[in-house]
Amino acid sequence: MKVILKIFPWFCLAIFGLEMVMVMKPKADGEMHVAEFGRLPALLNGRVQPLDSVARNSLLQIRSTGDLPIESVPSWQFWRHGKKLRSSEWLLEVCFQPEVADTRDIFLMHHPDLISELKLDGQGTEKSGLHYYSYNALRPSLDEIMTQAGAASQLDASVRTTYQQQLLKLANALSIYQRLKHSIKPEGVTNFVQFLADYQAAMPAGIQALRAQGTGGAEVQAAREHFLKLARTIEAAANQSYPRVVPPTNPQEDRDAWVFVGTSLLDSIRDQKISPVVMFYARMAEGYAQRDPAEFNSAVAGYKNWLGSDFAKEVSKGRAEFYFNRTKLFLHATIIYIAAFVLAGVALLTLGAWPPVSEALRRSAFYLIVLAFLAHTAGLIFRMTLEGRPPVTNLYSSAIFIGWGACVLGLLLERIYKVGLGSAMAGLAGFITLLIAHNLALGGDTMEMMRAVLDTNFWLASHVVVVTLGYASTFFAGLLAITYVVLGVFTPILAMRKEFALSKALVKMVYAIVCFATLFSFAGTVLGGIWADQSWGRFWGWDPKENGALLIVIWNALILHARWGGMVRERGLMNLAIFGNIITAWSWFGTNMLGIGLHSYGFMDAAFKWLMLFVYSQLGLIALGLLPLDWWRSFRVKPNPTLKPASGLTSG
Amino acid sequence: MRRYPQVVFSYRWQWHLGIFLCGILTASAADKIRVYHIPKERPLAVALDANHTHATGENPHALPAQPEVTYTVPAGWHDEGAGQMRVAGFSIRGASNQMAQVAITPLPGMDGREALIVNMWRQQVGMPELAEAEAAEQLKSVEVGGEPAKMFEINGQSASGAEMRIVTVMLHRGANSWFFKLQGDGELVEAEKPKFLQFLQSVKIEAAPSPELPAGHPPLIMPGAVTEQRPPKLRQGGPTWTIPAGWKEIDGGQFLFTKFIIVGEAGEQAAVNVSTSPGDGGGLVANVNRWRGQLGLSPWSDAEVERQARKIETSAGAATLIEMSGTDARPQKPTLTVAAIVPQNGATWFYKLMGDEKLVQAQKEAFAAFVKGVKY
Amino acid sequence: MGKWLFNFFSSVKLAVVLLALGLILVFWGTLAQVKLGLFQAQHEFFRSWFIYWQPPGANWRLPIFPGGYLVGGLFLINLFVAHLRYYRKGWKHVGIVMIHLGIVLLLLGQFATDLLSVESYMTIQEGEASNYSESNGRWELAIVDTSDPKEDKVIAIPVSLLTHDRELSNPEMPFEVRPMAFHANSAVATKATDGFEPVQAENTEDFKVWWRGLPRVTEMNRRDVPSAIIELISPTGEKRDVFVSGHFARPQTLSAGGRDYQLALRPERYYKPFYLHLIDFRFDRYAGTAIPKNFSSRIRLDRPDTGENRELTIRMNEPLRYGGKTFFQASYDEATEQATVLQVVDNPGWLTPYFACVLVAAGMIWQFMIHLVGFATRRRKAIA
Repeated sequence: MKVILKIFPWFCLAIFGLEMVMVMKPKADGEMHVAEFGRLPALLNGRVQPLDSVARNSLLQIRSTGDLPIESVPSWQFWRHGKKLRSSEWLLEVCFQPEVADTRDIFLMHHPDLISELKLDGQGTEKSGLHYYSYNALRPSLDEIMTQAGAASQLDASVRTTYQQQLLKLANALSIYQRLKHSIKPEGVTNFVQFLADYQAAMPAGIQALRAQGTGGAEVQAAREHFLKLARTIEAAANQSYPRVVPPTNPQEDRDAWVFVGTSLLDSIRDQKISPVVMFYARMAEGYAQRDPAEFNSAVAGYKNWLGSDFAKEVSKGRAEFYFNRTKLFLHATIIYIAAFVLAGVALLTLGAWPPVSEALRRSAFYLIVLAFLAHTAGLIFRMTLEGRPPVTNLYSSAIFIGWGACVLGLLLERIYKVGLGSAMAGLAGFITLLIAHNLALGGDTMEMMRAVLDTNFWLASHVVVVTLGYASTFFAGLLAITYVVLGVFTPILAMRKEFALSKALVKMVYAIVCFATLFSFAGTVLGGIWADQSWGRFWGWDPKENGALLIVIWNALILHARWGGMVRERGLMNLAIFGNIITAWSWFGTNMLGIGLHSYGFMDAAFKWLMLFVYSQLGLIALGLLPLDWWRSFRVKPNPTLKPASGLTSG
Repeated sequence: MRRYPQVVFSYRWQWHLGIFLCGILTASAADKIRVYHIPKERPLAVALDANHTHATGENPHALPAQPEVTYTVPAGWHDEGAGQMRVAGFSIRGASNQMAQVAITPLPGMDGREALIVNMWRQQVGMPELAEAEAAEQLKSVEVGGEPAKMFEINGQSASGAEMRIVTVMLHRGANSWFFKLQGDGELVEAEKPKFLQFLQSVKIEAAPSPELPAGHPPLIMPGAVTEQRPPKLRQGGPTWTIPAGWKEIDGGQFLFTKFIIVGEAGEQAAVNVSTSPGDGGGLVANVNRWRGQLGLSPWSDAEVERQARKIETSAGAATLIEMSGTDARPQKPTLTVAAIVPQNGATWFYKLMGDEKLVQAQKEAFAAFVKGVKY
Repeated sequence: MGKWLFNFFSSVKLAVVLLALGLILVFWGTLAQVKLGLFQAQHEFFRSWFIYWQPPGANWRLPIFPGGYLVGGLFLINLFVAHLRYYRKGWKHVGIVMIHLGIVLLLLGQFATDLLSVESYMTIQEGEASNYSESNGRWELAIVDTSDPKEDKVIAIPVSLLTHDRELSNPEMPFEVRPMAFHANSAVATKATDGFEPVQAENTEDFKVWWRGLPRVTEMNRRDVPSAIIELISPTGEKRDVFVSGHFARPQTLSAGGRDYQLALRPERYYKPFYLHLIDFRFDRYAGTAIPKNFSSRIRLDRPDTGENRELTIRMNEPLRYGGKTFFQASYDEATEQATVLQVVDNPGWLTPYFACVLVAAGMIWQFMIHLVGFATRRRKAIA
């Protein structure tokens, strides 16, 4: 038994550690080098990214998932991984075999009215209550969707109904999908290689005929018509494309001058030479459509070779980001965090009843938190290098960083008070923040370029990071306070002692972290003021986001002074700290919902419901904390005889 | 609680604070009248050099069929801008106010139809048509931007009976034929001809983008487009007119619809104010007497106004022209005012030419013609 | 009584109450921005002694909540008095003193900024130069004597003085100015329009003008445009009625006593002893997107009196600090992208927050370290 308890923590670590290693290990490509294709660079949203990111972010916006499952596995068979199309495979299909892609159920819809309005009842697939429909199913109602969405887009975001929001989301997804279909091969062209050959052949006579301006015989007219037909197909594609896949012809002059395939083809009229890049892509298209891996692979390799040293930076960026996409470090960290949270929670609950097991579980949880933290940190650093930016650049990355900061605090606490509390908090905070981040990522590219005002690494690194740490620590104090209330009311654990009384320890932790939060939120707020003074000439402008940060400072200062002035004791401190959660959530998300001010970097429309839900839950917890002490299991007047109560319980 | 000895000392701090705050408050005290001196506003460095090269067409992207023509404008030619057909136009005013115009017009598919063109022009000046061989004899060889072109000249009378002369140069280039036409008062045209030929040498025509490609961007062929923009339009909407030579349109400001200034050879000045008012704008007599007031003249009676007013016919119908001479209060110079009052569709348009007596005298006819020609 | 007051103002309870009031004030003031706009909300909530409530339709109002000045002021007093009461010697408490001193400095600095700083805007077209900036809300009646060939003499009368029916005079003024009618916000028409009155003034005889008063605007991106009819009274007693309006793009000219004047109702101007010449304005976007990447103005600074003449670039996050003023890239001409708008800030107290922050941060770190060391020692003892 003793041995098992000793080994168990290491066993847990080994299992999850092994999974991480498997994840991190580069994987071999299939027969068709899809991954190689996914690594190819393209320009979208103002930045160079691999085609895989284009595919992933598009699919996230369309289907809210990064990959596309094509085999349904009953969810209770969790050990079976259903077949799925990886993001790059899906993109290949969309670009080169759109007729197949059109049949995939990818468009996510919730709204029952919308589904019946579009006469989709009984169609599509349903998975865990979510409905997905194919492009073909939507095709008859395309005009209807676009017209209605056009009308809805005229409305102010705040007055749109859920139906209209859904409709706009669907219209956006459809538009991305349609544009993706045109991005490499003009839609409707069956053999792209043949098409390009025709185009090349038609060019000299066609241009001549155009210059003749209506003169000339039937032959000239025919040459003109033929050429114009091809050119119009290309132009239609150029106007519809999504990523710019053809690199600049003069990288020394302007590295960002990437163009659409269609634009490149139209440009080729100038010197009557089709860009080799387009030729490579055409060969990939045919290789893929003909199921000819050799042709496809040689085209991909040929293009890579062509990119060569001129675009070495872009190629390596593509490779790195592709690797980042595939490892999904944050996803795995989330899984480990939740596992660690469960272990640490059990450890806490068994603290009195079964100390050796509790210790083994606590240890396992701690190891796992360390592992998850490493994965989290690795992901954070990877992102920073990819972006060339400090950790926090938008709402998504602020969620990731808040989780990271909370995890650091949890690990520190666990080192000091070895009861599993720190691990449990770290696990929970990591899990929740990464979950929030995941949902924020559904809006599209999370590495978008920084708007002019924010384009300064110095202030992003100082003000934004420090103020985010302020958020993280205030949240962490609130989380500890919630633990205090929940454990105190529902369990007898708080009254237990190890070398110390747990309730006392929690009070100390909350107090210390509130101090810490005051320092960080104040410093962050003031740094923000200095940034504003440097950029706009005023230290303080009462902008909503500034005010939000100020609220956190004021609240933390209030907690400290209320404590120093003896106005609150333990429970009061806890309740104030829980209220701190509301204030922090409001500054983090609420201020962005006002739709005013300079900090509109994290604009969002639908999160308001969640924010209110959070506020009510916190108010509920505060109400719980206000219950008379007699109702608290930990502090009942008649102590549980099996537990040694802590001495000097003086809760107020 | 304990009191510390610092208290007394520190109350002084509070005094300091109070004084500081009072200082701040008085510093930002009530608004006061400020008096200060500033250097004269610097004149803006606007190049008014007539001999600058520039491109035609306001926006090469908006006019996909319009080829690019560049040239050097000779001194004394007044740029009239592009028109419906022409890509560029100029006006020339002679020493005794004779007028001549230059226009550059591309026409498609005119190659080999020179006789037709010659006869077209001859018709315009009331001359008999020529047989093809005769017409061909009229053509002389010249050069446009180094390329061979054909020139012919016609003397005749305009519809109004004035002596006039037309010099036409044709250049066939691709599908287009380019017409450069100098037309106007016989003597003036003769005098300007060397300049015209010199001007032709400076002309450069860039390849025309095909007009038949599908609309929308990106454009297929981007000629070495010169994207210099013309100064923004001073006004928008309103009537259209032909601006007489020597008049320069400027921003009319708050109350005027627009304003033209005319500068004489000795630097004397006159201005044409154009304004509009709903209804009768206060009536003829009141306006006339207001203008008389500006010239330091005593008011006219209704009958006197009636007697002085001259009826003219404009495109908007009957209108009134009136003239008065006096002394402008400000420059203290003999000043002549010629004003036209044109009722048009429930509103009244006022045109007032006022300025140096001699200059106004010289511009009177151009002014009357201008008023008559305005299209509402 | 004095003792009671001392205890009251120095109490931690008061500090907590003030912090709570401040919290509510900031939260409320932020929400109010949605409806009132930033400027008005700032004015009503933070730059005021009280927040008032006006029942609909009533012409009286009730103070219902302390405003920013009151809360801030009481907080200042609280900090001072508490410092006197609780001050303890010793390095252990240095941190607390530093923090509180820093907060005091911060509050005072903001108070001073509110009262002393002047914000204005300088608009320059490409290829042109400017030597003055204009207020974004304050207007003046400018009488400019242009007779001197070398320099102009400007007499600037703030429009707030035009609201009283009182003759305005000044030894430098060539004539007295008597406001006849004034609208702080107005509309002007050049033809008879419903709700507009004809303007009766000497300079509108030629071309009739109609005007009307408008309610004052509160939105941040809009502003009042005043108009006025003023009477100019020459020393000899001659009177002339002149209509002036912020709607007019150019000044009116007039002569009096043999001198030429320009008369204009214009945003308050602040002349500098130097010119900023806009060479180029650039608005860069990220490739293939509309996301702004950078705004920048290439400027030549030309100072005739010292002969200083150099080129520099003002861009986002990189202002020009010169002559006690700071020039920020604030905006641009959206239609042409060929004109820049620089925000010019003259804030004599701009350094106070920097000092304050260093003090507070150092104090906090000090205090934090002491706690941490103390905690670690105690724990080590407890474990041992």
